[in-house]
Amino acid sequence: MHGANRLGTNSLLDLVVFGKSAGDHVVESLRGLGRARPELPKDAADRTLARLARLEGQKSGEQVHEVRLSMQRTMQEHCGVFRFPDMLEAGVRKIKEVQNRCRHTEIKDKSKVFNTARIEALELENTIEVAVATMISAEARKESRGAHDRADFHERDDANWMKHSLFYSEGHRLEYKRVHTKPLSVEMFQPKKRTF
Amino acid sequence: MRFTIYRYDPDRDEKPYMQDYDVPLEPTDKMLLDALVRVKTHDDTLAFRRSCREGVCGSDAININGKNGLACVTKVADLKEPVVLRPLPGLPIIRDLIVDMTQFFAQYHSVKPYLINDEPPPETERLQSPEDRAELEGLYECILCACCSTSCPSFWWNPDKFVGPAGLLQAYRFIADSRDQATSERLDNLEDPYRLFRCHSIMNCVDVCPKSLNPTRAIGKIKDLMVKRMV
Ligand code: SF4
Ligand code: SF4
Ligand code: FES
Repeated sequence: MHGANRLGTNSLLDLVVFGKSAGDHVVESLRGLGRARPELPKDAADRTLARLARLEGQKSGEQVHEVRLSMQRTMQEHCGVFRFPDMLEAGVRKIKEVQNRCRHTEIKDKSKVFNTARIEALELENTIEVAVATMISAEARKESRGAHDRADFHERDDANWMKHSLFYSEGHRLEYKRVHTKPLSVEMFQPKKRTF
Repeated sequence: MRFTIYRYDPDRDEKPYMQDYDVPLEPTDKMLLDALVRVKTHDDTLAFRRSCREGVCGSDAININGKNGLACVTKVADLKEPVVLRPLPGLPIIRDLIVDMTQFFAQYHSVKPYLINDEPPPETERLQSPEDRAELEGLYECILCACCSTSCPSFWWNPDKFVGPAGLLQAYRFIADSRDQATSERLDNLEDPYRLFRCHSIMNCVDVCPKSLNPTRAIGKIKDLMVKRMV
């Protein structure tokens, strides 16, 4: 989108540009539909309600902050800027264990008013998805790209790894998608190695 | 560390009460927000807002030992024990340390806190000289935490009529902006016995602003402009 990249603030610009584009698209496609909107599936809310019901009914279990700290420590130790094959492998195992623990968190606060404990529990369930996706994709990628340095593959490897990782949470499955290198409307900035 | 914290959950409590906590802190708990997060690991029913934890988002403004401030930029070492924490004064309480900011933001919106300029937008930015840009120092940095307005007695009595220091600071931020064309409209908007003139220069706002801004000075400048255009 913006050619010459830097890590910080990329995400912010992405959010603004693609957020606007997504919003425009939603409005556009709704307009085409007129009043005849398709019925929501009967079970549309079931998954979300099940998450809430699970927390509501959980009478014992681990504290959210404990599991969150384990997730943070695991990512920090195993999946930082400098990466090592054995650490990544162990990290995959560990982060999956943390993911299992997320299914048994307990909150004491059951209030219906501004319940920040419940928000934090739900946030943990969301962030662990990202953590697992990051760890598994990183372990599989046998190269060093961007700011990351992988000890057994120090170099960037465009021949084999110039592709996006796509992670599917069902079955922790990985797929890849090719990178478009054709300019869409502006001249492409030649991809090159990130140096400091 | 010992805390006395205001508790109220309309879902459970008949009325508000103060709850004592005695919670051991870790060496890394340097700021009051760290300490609050630590307290919450012992009691997850304690509700407070926070987000950036670095004085940028303005969401963790509370009343700390009697003075409004941001928990995240308040050093634990500077606090007298027990640390008494209450929600910001003067606004309706939603729960525990969380207040309803509707009134505060309504006043903020009422000053049209955005650039008004009817000329067609140029190809690139609307440029400003360094001197003109310097006029905005001490104005644009406001993070809308509401520490100032909720420490101002005039705002406590008339939150629906008096714009309050935060809103007035932002009104002046656009009056002072060389790119803005709505100065006289902005002054008309404040020409009222309450909206601007309820400020009696009590200076509470200046005393509490965590970004060291000076709403009283900005308010003074608006008053000067009002007088100037009358003569
Ligand atoms: S100086 Fe004005 S705005 Fe600030 S606290 Fe006093 S009365 Fe309120
Ligand atoms: S002027 Fe200061 S105290 Fe008031 S809202 Fe802005 S940052 Fe907060
Ligand atoms: S948490 Fe954002 S200002 Fe304190």
